[in-house]
Amino acid sequence: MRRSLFLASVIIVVCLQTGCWSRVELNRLGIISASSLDLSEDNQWVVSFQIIIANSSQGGSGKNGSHSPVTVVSMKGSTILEALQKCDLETPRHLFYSHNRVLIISKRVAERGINLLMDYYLRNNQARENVNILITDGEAKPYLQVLTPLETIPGNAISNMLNDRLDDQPKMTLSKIYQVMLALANPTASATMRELKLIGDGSKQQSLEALQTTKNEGKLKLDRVAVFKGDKFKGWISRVDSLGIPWITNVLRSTDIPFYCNGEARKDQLSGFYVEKTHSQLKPRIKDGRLYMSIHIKVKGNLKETACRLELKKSKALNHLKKPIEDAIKENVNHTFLKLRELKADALGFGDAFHKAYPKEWKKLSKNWEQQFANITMDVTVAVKIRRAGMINDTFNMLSENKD
Amino acid sequence: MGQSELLSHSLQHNIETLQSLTGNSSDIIVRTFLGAGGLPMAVIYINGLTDSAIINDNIMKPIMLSGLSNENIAESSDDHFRIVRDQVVSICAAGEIMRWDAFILTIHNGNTVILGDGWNQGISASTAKWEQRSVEEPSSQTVIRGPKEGFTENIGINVALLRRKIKSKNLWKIDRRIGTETQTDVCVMYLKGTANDEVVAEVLERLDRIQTDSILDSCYLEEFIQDKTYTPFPTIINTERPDSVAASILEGQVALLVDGTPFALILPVTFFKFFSASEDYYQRFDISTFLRILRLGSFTVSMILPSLYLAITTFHQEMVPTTLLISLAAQREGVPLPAFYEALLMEVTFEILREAGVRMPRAIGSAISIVGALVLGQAAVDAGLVSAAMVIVVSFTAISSFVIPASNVAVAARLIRFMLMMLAATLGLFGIMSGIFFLLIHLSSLRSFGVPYLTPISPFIPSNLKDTIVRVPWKLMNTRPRLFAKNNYKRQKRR
Repeated sequence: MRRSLFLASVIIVVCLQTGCWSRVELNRLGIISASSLDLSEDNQWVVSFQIIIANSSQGGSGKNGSHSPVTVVSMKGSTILEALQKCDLETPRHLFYSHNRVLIISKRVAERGINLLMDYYLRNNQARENVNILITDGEAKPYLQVLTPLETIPGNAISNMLNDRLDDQPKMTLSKIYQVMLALANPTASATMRELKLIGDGSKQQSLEALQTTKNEGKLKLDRVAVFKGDKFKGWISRVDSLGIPWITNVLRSTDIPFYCNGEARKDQLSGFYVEKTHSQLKPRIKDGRLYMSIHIKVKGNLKETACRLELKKSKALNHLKKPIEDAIKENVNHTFLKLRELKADALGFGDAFHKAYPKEWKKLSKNWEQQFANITMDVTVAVKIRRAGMINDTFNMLSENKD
Repeated sequence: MGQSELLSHSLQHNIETLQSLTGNSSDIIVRTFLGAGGLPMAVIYINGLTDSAIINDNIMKPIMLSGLSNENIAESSDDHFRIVRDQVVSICAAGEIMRWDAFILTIHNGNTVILGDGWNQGISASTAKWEQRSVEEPSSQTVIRGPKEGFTENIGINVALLRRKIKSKNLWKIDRRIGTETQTDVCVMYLKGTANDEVVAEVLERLDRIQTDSILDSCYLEEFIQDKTYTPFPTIINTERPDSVAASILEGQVALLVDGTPFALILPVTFFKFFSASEDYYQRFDISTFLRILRLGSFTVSMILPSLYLAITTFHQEMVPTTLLISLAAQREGVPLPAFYEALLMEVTFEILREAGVRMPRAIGSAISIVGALVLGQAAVDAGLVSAAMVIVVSFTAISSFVIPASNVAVAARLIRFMLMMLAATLGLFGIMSGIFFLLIHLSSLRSFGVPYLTPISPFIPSNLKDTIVRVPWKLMNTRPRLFAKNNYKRQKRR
């Protein structure tokens, strides 16, 4: 009895002596929803944060509308940490990074190199590695100040724009910070990053009044893809040119393919094919010292729209459509490969494929992979399976003609 | 004058002794009269505990008017005593009283003692009848389907209720009388050959060791005989339902019935027994299983939910989805108290409300619910004293604690909740983890009459899992719990 009392008092004292170590009340937190990193004219880091104002960003409470849902603070420092700590001087609340979902860096930062940033992210226990990282052509901070109409918190809007579309848009390259880190850690691979673009006048989209109209003065949009060489920015490839990246790297889940059902000659006869399931396989080969890469892509999907005259009841007609779809996909893939070859940047995982298939030869190949990559001969085979042709059989063009 | 002294031969002397022993209490009636043959006699009984019609018809009338004619008046007083006992008094239960302590006890049990001049003993005749509750539906453990009778305050009726359920020669009953002043009847009932004899022996030994003046409820006994006193977890179950007791006896457990209370004790028990309601066995197995899992979940919730909320919102904000965090943060804007004190305030408020609900007179019950629900809940949130999320957490915790069928385990969860809240407020999730580890270690150290508390999880007994978290259909319930019924393990033939 005496012993258990003693034990209990020890436990109570130990608990009380901690003094609620590292306890932070919710209303003392400044929750960060997005952050950006710039390099100032005098080569100092500029860190900006979009901090959520919880009271006004929560819908339905009736308080909505009087305050902006977020506020942006930014500070300069010779190291990232110094800039961060200076932000604490400016904000009345304890800055809380764990809910940061988007990190936007400017091209200037990327040109200087992002290894320092990655080091900071891996070292810091509050920062998460599944943050989306984006790149901007100009200064990054103004992007944090743009209010978005559909999402109250702009940081969430950007992150949803990226993540939700991973499911249904091919135009995405992987953009989580850990994915970038993996590419950076691989000496022969190139990291890619999405560009975030501001269309229109962003400064008019910074007040709540901007949300009262249906037309947005400034819009955030995902655009080009930045290709890195090492930890430094190498060049842009346009959105159209980047379409092949998800096909080759096998991250694509679904997308749409426009194609000419009767060949390029009849440009008016466009059709839309909706890809539901894809799988791609890289098959590297070395023959007579030359590198070959075969890519097999299997595609399953539905025909969603067509302007052609087809009797789709017959399987022959569907088979007839396979070829143009395959060609369209092949073109995307080839196009991207050519662009990346120009940049001599292996953002497609070819290096890894060769490493796995030819571990012995890889030692030699990896020494000048840049050159080797540029010399790869690539061929693409696509196998399309059209599952369904939608709710009607014959195309509407045919139906209307039959009536006449 | 010691109580254990013997009755004397003189009627007058005996009556005087009785009056001096009981301090001339007016409810102890001493009726002196002349029996047939002119022998001075007396009937002694306690007013209110006896049925005067029986005394009139079956004691007084036969003795005064009987054929104890002059011819067969016995020569000696011994013969006279035997004739009155065997031939005159027409009452089924009659016994001899030789000593004063037995005398006092027997009249307190509602018996009437017949004394005669020259006898050195009395005849005790059963005439008990007093006002008592009839068998009613138990108020603490209600069922939708199943037997609706409950124990009463009368141990005789309670034993009879059990006998009616188990009509077996193996249902054995051992009596004890405990309490120097209350002389409370206690009986141990078990299924001979099924129950573990060592447990029965241990129960009897612990009962015999009790040295107290009074047993007014089975809780007195529970505290005297339980294995460990300083633990929030009960190691003996109590129930008001004869069917639960019968089921337990059939599983090899031992039941303890106490006169004067409708609550019987069942032992030994395991932790998981507290989560099975008797209705589990009267409903189909699928819904019973679902409800058991629900109860275990509710128990956990009622124990750790406030502390989990505290830990996550004050230490581990990164664990909450962003939208939820923003919503919680918005609610906490302007709340003056730290989350721990906020939680403590609400929990204590709820405990006060609950206690008020139990203790207050029924007539003002609606006032409490209005004050509790509207003033403390709604107004406190509107006034910005507490956050709405905290009110939700506390009320959900409260409701979860009512799901557990055994209220004494719910009490354990109530107490532990505060301890865990303190740990969470100081050490966050780490504190909760340490608290739960501490609890698990404690739970596995507990024993209930030799049976480990966490059986059949630890020690792991796979065959007993059939009636622990899940309840399998009766067809498959082939065995009894192994540690309860070591000797008679099989319940039914395998099909």
